[in-house]
Formats: sequence, C-alpha cells, structure tokens
Amino acid sequence: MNRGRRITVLLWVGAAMLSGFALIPGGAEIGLMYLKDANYEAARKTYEERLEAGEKTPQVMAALERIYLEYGDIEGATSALEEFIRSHPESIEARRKLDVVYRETHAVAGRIANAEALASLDPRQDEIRELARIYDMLGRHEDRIRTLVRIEKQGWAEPDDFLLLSQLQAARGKLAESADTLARWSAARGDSFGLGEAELLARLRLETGQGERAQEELAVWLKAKPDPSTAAAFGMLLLAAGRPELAWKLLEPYQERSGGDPALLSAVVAVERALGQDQRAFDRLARRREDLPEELWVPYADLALARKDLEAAAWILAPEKLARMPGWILVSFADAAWGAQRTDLLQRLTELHKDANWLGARPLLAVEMAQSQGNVEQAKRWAGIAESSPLAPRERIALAGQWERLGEPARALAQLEKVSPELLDAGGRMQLARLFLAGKRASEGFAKLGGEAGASSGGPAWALLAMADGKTGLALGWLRAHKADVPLLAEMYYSVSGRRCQGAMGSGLDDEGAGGPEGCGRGGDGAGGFDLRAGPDRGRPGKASCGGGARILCEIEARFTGAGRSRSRGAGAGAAGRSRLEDGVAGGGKARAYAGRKLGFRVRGGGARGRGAGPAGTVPRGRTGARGFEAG
Amino acid sequence: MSRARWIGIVTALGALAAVLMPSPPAARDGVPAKQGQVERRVVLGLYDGSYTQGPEDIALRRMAEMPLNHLGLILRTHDVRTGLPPVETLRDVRGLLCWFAADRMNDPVKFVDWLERASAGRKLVWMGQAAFNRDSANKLTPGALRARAWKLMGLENLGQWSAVTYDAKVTFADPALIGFERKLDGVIPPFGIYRKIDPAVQAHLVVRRGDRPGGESVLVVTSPRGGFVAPDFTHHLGQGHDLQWYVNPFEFFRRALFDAPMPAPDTTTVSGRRIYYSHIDGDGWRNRTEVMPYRKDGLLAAEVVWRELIEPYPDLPVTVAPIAGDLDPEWRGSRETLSLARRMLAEPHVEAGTHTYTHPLQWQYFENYDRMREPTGPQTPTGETKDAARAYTDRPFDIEHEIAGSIRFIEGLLPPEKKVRLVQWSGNTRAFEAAIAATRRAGVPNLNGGDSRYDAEYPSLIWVAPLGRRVGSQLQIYSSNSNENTYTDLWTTRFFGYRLVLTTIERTEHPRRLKPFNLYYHMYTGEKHAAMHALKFCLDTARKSELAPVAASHFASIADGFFSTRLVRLDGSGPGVETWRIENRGALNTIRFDQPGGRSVDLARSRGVLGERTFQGSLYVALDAAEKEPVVTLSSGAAAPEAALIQARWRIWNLRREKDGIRFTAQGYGQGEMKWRLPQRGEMRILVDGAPAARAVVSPGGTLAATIAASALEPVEIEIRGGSI
Repeated sequence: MNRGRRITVLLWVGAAMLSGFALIPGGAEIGLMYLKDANYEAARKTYEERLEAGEKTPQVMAALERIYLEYGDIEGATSALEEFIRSHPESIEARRKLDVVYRETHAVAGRIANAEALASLDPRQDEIRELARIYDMLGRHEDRIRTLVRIEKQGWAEPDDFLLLSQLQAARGKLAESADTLARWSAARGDSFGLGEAELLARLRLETGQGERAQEELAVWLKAKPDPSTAAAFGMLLLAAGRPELAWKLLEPYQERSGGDPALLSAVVAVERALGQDQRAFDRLARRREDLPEELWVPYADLALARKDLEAAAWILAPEKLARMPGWILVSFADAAWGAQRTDLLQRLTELHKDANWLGARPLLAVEMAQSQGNVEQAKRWAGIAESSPLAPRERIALAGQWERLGEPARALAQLEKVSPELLDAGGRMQLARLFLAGKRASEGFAKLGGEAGASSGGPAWALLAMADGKTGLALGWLRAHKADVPLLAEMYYSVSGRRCQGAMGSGLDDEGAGGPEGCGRGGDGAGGFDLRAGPDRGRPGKASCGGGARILCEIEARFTGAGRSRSRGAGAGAAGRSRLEDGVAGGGKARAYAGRKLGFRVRGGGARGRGAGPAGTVPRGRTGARGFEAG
Repeated sequence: MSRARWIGIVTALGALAAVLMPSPPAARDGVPAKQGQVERRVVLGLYDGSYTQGPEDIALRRMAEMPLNHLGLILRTHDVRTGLPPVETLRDVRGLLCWFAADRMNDPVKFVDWLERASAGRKLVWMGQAAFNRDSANKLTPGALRARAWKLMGLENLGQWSAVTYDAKVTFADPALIGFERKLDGVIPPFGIYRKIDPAVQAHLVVRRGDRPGGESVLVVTSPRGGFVAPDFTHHLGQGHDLQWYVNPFEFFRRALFDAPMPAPDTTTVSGRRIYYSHIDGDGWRNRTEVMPYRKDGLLAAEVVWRELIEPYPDLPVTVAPIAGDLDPEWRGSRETLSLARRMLAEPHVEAGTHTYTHPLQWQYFENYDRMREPTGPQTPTGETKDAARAYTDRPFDIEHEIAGSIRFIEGLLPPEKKVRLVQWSGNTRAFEAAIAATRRAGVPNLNGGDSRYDAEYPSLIWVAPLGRRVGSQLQIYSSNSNENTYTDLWTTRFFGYRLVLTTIERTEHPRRLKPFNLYYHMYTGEKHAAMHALKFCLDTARKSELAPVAASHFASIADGFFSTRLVRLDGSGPGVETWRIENRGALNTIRFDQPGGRSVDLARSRGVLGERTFQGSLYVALDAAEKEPVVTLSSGAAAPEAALIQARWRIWNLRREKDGIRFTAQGYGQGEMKWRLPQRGEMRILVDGAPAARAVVSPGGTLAATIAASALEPVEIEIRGGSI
C-alpha cells in the first residue's frame, strides 16, 4: 500500500471514529430512548442524574413528571415542575406542562394559581375560559367576573359572556357596571342584543339614576326595531320607575299609532294619567268607546269616575264589562252613585250582580259595597256570609277589619283567631298587628305572633306588638338587632305614644297631614316621657329620661338624629294620614297620624275617612279613582 | 307396617302439629310478639318521557335515587305517557316524587285528579317544573285545577314570575338544607311567587323579589304532606359536568318523606366496617403488556395483572370475570389464555365471574336482535368485529349462551369446589330485562354500570349512582365505583388516572358513608406501566385502611337484599324505644339508624344482633346472618352487659353468647382483626377451629381488640373464652 493510499485509509478510519463518537447518544437522548421504550426505571435514573447535575430545564422536568406519573407518584410529578417554576416563573412552556399535570391530577388550587400566571404571561382563550369555569364551580363570583372582564378585554367575548358578566355584576350589586357591560354588548354585538337585554339595561340605568340615558338607549333600540308593542313595554318600564316624563318622551312619536295597538294605547293612557293629563287620556279613550279594547275598559272606567262623570262610568253596567271590572272600580262606582243619589245606577249594578250571582262569590266586596252605601245591616249580612266562605289568610284579615269598622270587635277577633301568622308574609303580619292594635288587643296579638319566642319569626309586626304591649325590653332588643325602616319606626313610635295619649288613635287628618293628633305632645309628662312631636311650636320635651317605655322613643329618636342630640330636635307635627291599604287588601278606615316630617317620610293622599278599597287582590297599583287614594 | 307407611304417618302428624301449634315463641324474652307495621319503602317517581333523553337520564334516576337509597328507600319510576297507575296498586308506596322537565303534559286535568287520590295517605314531593300547568298543546290548565295541585303541597302559586333577579334577595336559607354543595349567592335563578297556605309547611328557602312588599316566595319547603323545591333551585347547572346541589337531598328527602325515623338497610358496611370489594372485567386479557420487564417475555396483560395486582394481595379478594370468547379456542382463546385463567381462578382469594361470551357493547341492540342486520365483517387486529354491537360476532347472539354458556365454559376451568359467582355486565352495561333474567336463572347475581364519580372533574354527588336499576321485573346492581375507562378518556391517555378513584372513595366515606371501597378495572390495566402502578397504589391504600373485604358477588347479593328487605315496625315500644323486625333481607346484614338520638341497641330486647358501632353520627347495627328475622330494639338505657361486636375485618355469624365467652363462625380475607365489647374482664384465649390462636386482654372498659393470624378463607369456628380452656 503506498503512502497516499495509507493516508487515505487513515483519514477514513479517523473520520469514521469521529462520526461514531459524534453519534454516541448523550444523556438527553438516552433518557428519551428509555422513555420511548417504556423503560421507566432506567429513564428515571437517567433524568434524576441529569437533574442532580444541575440540568434544570423544562425538558428534564417534564420528562421526570411523566416518569413519576408512570409510577402513580402524582405528588412527585407535580413538585418536579413546581420546583422548576419557582426558579423560572416566566417559563410559559413549563407552566403549560404544569397546567396539564394539575388538570389531570385534579389539583384545583394549584391549577388556578398557575392558570392565572399563564393568563398574564400568554393569554389563551381556552385557558382563560377554563379558569372562568373553575371559578364558577367554586362559587368564586368576583374572580369569575374578573376573568370574564379579561375575556372581554381580549376581544373574545360572545353574547353569552356579556350576559353572564352583566348578570353576575348585577347580582353582586354592581348595577352601574352591569349596565355598562350590557351597553358594551349592545355596541359590539348589537345583532344579538335582544329585547330582554334592552329592558334589563334600562332597568339598571333607572336604578342607578340614569333615567335619561335609559330613555335614550331605549329610543335607539326602538328606532332600529320599531314595534308598537315594544314601545308600549318600554314606556311602561319607564313609567313603573316613576319617570312618566321620560315615558312620554319615548312614546310621543308613536302615540298617533296607538289606536291600532291596544298595548300601546294602554301605555299612552297610563303615561298621560301619570302626567296629570287625565282629560286628554279620557278623550282619547272616549273617542274609541264603542270599540275600546278590553285592556282599556278599566282605565276608561277609572278615568270616568275620577272626573265624576257617572254617565260615562255607567258604561260599565253591562254584564260582559262588569265581569271584568275589579272590585275597587265597582266600589268607587257604587260610592259615586251613592254620593250622587243615583239609586237607579246602584240598583242596576245590584241587579246585574244578582243575575250573575256575582256578589255571592265575592262577599268581601259586597261588604265594601254595602259599607259604601252606608247600609250597615247589609254589610253585616255579607260579612256573615264571608265568614263562612273559604278565605285566604289576608282576606280573613280584611274581613276582621270590616268587622272592626262595623263595631263588632268580638267577631273581628274571631277572624283574627283563625289566621295562622306563619302563613303571612311580613306585610300580612303587619296588618294583623295593626288590627290587634286597633282593637286594643296588643297582648293577644303579641301572643298570636309567638309571644316572647316569636322574635325571629314575627319580625317588625312582633316588635310593634311587643312595644304596644309594654314589652319594652324585648322591643328594644329587636330594634337594636334589626334595621327597621322609617314607616315601621314611625308606627312603633305611634303605638307607644298613642297608647299614652288617649284619643290619638283614629284622629284623622287632612290629606297632606297637617297638624298632629290632639291631646298629644304638649310637653312631657314628667314621668320619663318624651314626645317626639314636640317641636319648637309644640313646647319642649318633658323631663325625659330614657327609662321605662320612653326608652323605645329614645331609641327611635336616636335612629334619626343620632344619639345624644336627639330629643330637643323635634320638627313640628307634620303628621300625615296614612292609608292602611297595603298589598292589595282592604284596610280599616282610620288614618294614622305620624310625626311625618320629622321621621323623614311622606304619605300622600288618604284622609280622615281613608277607606280601603276592596277585597284581597283587587287593589290597583295606582289610585282608586274617585277617592284619589294612593298607597304610601 | 312398612317403613314408608311409618314415614307417611309421622310426616302427616308433623304437618298437623305444625298447623295446630301456635307460632313459636320469640327466641328471647322481651321481643314484642305482635306482627307490627311493614314500613313502605317505595317512592313512585313520576316523569314525562316526552321531554327526557331516556329512562336512565331523568333527574329522578340521576339525582334523587342515590339519596333515596341511602335513606333506605326504593325508587320506582313511572313515565306518565304510559298512563297513571291505579291508586289501588300503590299500597307499598310511601310517597310520590314528581320531577318533570317541562311545564306541560298530555292530560293535566286527569293528572291532578289522580294526584289528589294517589297522594291521600302518601307523601307528595314536587321538584322541577309544574307539569300540570298546561297540556301538550300548550293550553293553560284552568286556574282552579292548578290551585288544587298546589294545595296538595300546602302552597299557592301567585302566578307571578321574576325573570330578572338581580334585585332578588335570599331572606332565609335554612343552613340544614340550603347551600349543600353550592351556596345561592351568585345569580339567583328566575322564580315564581309561591306562598304557604298550610301552617304545617316549613319554609327552608325564602327569596324576596326586589323590594316589593308581598314579593316573598317560598322556594323550598317541607311539611307533613311532603315537600317542594321550585324549578332551578334544586341544583346549579354549570358547564359540562359542573352540576352542584343547592339543596341537601338527604335532609330534604328525610324531612319530606318521613314522619318518624326508619332504619336504612345498609349496603356499605359489614361487621361494622366499610366493605371492600374488587372486580376485574376480562377486557384486554389477550393484549400483550408494555410493562417492563414482562414485555421482554411477551406476557399477556392479564398475566401482569395476575403477577402484580392479584397474587401479591391475598388479603384482598378479587373477582375475575373473563370474556369466555377470549379463552375458548373455538373463538379467540388459546392454550396460553386458558392456562392463565386456570391458574388465576384457582387462587383461593380469587372469585370467578363471567364477563359474557362475546362481550356485547350496546346491550339494547340485542333486545330485538336480528342476525341479518348484524355486522360480521372485518376484524380489528385484536380480533374484534369492526362497527359491531359486540366484540365477537362469529355466531348469532344468544342470551343463554352469553350468560349460562359462558358460566359453563369458565366453570370448566375451575377447581371442582369453585363455581362462577357473578355476571359482570359488559359494554354500556344497559342490560335488558331478559338478559338480567338469564343471570337469575343461572343462579348468580349481576354487577356493573353506574360509573360513580365524585371528584374535581365530577364535582357533585349527582355523579354518584344509586344501587342499581330496575328493568321491568328485573334488578341490575351497579358497581360502587367507576373503572379506569372514565379516568383515562376511554383508555387513550393519562393511564395513571385510576389513582384518582381514591378521591371518590374518600368522598363517599365522609361525611356520610355512601358506597363501599370498590376497585373496579379491566385486564388491560396490565398493559400499561402507569395504570398498573395506579392500581398498586390503590391496593396499598386499601390494605392500610380499616375495611371488611368481601367477594364482589357478596356485595351484589347484599345490594339485592336491600331491595327485598322488609322493615317491620313492632308495637310495644315505650318512650324513646323503637323495635324493628328485619325480614327477607338476603345477604344484607347491616341496618343503619341515622339519628339514633343517643340510643343504642338493647340486646336484651333484640334478637339476631351481633353488635353495633357509631360512625359519623349513625348507628350501624350488625345482624347475625344465622338469624332469619332479627329483631332490633333501640333504647336509651344503659347498655346491657352482653357481648357485642364493635367491628371486624371478617364476616361473622352464628354468634353464641356463653357464660365465659363467645363462639361464632367467621370468614374473611387477611388477618382477623376484630374488636368486641365483652362482659368478661382480664385475659381471654382465642381458639380457631378448637386450636389456640391468640390471647387478648379485655380492657377495663370492656373492650377486647384482637388480631387472629389465621386463614379464614373458608369459614372457621372461633371461640373467645376467659380462664383456662
């Protein structure tokens, strides 16, 4: 072999050796080979050696994690990656691997923290949505809100996300934020923003004092999808929120079309009435009297009665119309006819009822009607019939009120005995309490509501009766443990002071409540009394110490004026008549006198004879027509 | 006179005496002799199949049945589309549970009329939609009729609906019932206004609608007449599996369906300990393992299971149910598969089961089977027919062949003393009536189905299955846990996943014991390293836990016993005393009193009671299998100085209390750990089949704890005696 040939051979051999060395697998390759070969014991050994040698890479950690899981060692698998992430918190690759481990091993807490970090480092829609799902599952609503906001900010929000976010915000009391979310939805995905959402947005705007904005947004929505029924619904929404002027602004462009749509006509009429435009509303309906849609029958009758137009009101005296008239309209009609000495109309009314056996099925209404005619005997007869009729608890309370007014306290009490307080809601229990108070039966009422043990179930009604029954300590305890609203405090105040000032009960006042009950509040009685109504023009408070029954008054006083400066701050006797008409149940006729202005509330309407207006369920949301009665 | 004639005369006299003789006196004094009152355990669940996916996917089955079972009640479902059951057929019905998915039904008028009659003298529980609201043509039911239906629940529905609820407030939420898995503090579901009209109605959830007076609605109530949960207030409906109870179903049903406490036949506990059982479906028997070092030798996955998960755990019984077709050489079997089956099934702690012959996957397919329509074409590499409703389609489907045929084949591989004891349903486990009947004809119980999970992926008890399902006249028993399929995405990934079964096992033990400790897997677990190790981890955990291991067939028989048990409330009980006779209970030997009120078993006035143990507030009473109709009396008096079992790893029966000790029969797996309350004091000697086995000392408090290092795989006779023997 010549030299050149030898060199060539040597070069080839050298190259081959070098290649061989180069091809010898390193630690990483060996580990991978073991893993692929499912030789986990050897793979673990290899990777742990690499780890000990300081090779803390995501690859090594991920391989170890996989190996540990092969041995069912969930904790080991997790901690390998966790340890790596502690020193490399920004490693997205490692975090994603850890997320998989957490997900697969059901490690919820760790997963949340890691997913939050990932959402900041490298937000991905599926991961953030999964995070929101986990927060939902855990009931972590604030975190879910935050995550949904993040989804929206990333531009990934779907209509359902907006809806959910706004619902969650509203449920957490963040009404303005909720409204803004809906508004953003409307702007971003208007095609999916439906009627329900528009109404919800308006409600939220109204609740957050943005009525004008609500009206504007509704108008925009309506302009895009004009529809009389929708306009009517929007108008009624604004009206229900006490913004008739905004409702009119919204409906005005549509009013000419109202004739063709009963709902829109109803809404227009309702808004006009709320704006004091009764005449215009009446004329609008009167023009269509012959083909008036059924929904408008009651408003028409009510308007006619309100303007004392008995001839127009007598339009209801047809069987099909009468059948649809609520009791309060009939009572108002009967009242008006009686006042005008139109016995012909009354007879006609009675005849029609008789024909249909209509009154027989409504004995409570019959009592009211007889009362309105001043026919005590007839009223008693109907009340007797009502007694033996199946009555709901609230109707029974109403009947008790009627007996009270008919001067039959024993029968009133008998009705009350039949009522189970636990079947009543707070309003019903309060009515029950008032009847006991009116009958001067505070002790019985207190016992009825559970006595000393009734504090938790009896609520404000119990406290009221406790106070009236002289259980000052109990009443005080309740007052201090609960947030009583203003009317309740006023009533409590009244129940105490009224008890001590004979003659106060039932002292009627004028409509706007000028003047206080006679015989009360003229200076203190020197026996621990304190008269809240004693203002600058009523003399000074007595030498009250907050002991005995007066402690309760001090407590009430403190609620309004702050402890320590309350007692000399009486602000006159702005008492107001207050309807006992609540929750659709006919109440008694005696107005209550309150230290209204002092207590910061105002009750409109009513009067010395403030009469309830009908059996349960018949009282309208608005006024009762001829009497112009409004619930406070 | 011939011998036969004598025998005839004696037999006749015996029969006459049996007729004329009064009933045998109670075995012990103090046991009331009157017949007593049989407790009605059936709850009739009404639903409308028009609005559900199928009878298995209704809320009644998915949500209500497991809690009802826990309370000792049996749910019988009824689709109102098939008509309403005559009221006179409802004698065994304690209550009606109406859970409708829609607010309409075919004939609401007829339904309300029936409901009034059917609920007389029975409880009425209403959950879900008010289906009587309208008919299927969307015509509103007359208000008076709807009011009658509501009145049955002591309620009136004011017909007001709050679709927007952001301003609604929960004004009262009874902590005993509301906020069970989830608080009602997020978005409140839309609701109607319901009011109480019956003073006996107790509100558990009251929500106020905005600030409107009179807007309070009672959304969850119970009363002596039953109970009501408003639609959407039973549970939260999140994404995927994220369902969570708002209402505590155990407490709600307890209050709605019981006037007085009733013990529950208990399927979770034997000898005062939580039951352990394990069973393996044969799937994957023929697969080759990937697990080193076995892979080198080309071992079968089943062989690895045998070597790693069965043989090393003789203290933990396991039921092995091969697919006969995997063993039978005429199908897919081989000498290798047969040999392994023979070895494995011969082991004393291995019980033989069958996983059918051809492994049906879609059981419904075979209810009305048509061979002509069955795919029989190409096979997968492992020999299964592609796109078919069973694995092997070589021959026409025959249910007798699947059940009795597979039993016969597998029994041919067993030692003479062994029999096939269990049928383990294959595929989707939705066995049809005739299939279940075939198991009963073969004389073996059946098991599988249910797929209970309760973990981060399935975060609610809603995913914990009831005891089983009734199919026509037949009863299918569910396994207590899911298998590795649901933890590995149908055996495609995260093969370690079955380790997480321990979460479900933990959560179905605390705070109330709902299920046994059950390990259920397939032979293909032996294929994967991670799966095998996950199982080892679970087995090791079981080994460290206080359990009473039994064969899977025994659990299935216990569950059968749950459905057959009659609970007879006996008269003659005094204040604070209640006495029950337990009849027709089969293999079930524990009854549970959930609110014993500080009372315990009055052994002097009981019969056939081994002992008692209080766990998590419940009193578990161990019954003696040797007593056909035990009597259990609870009283609050001091415990009588009589021997009583507290807990044991082994099953115990035929207990005889004697002057100087006790004798009983026992059978079980592993060492005989046991604890007794004994009247004796000092050192006691323990004999097994007459031979001394251990010594133990009764503590001053009267407790004896012992571990008997003997084999009780076959029943043994044990004596625990004081003094010298």
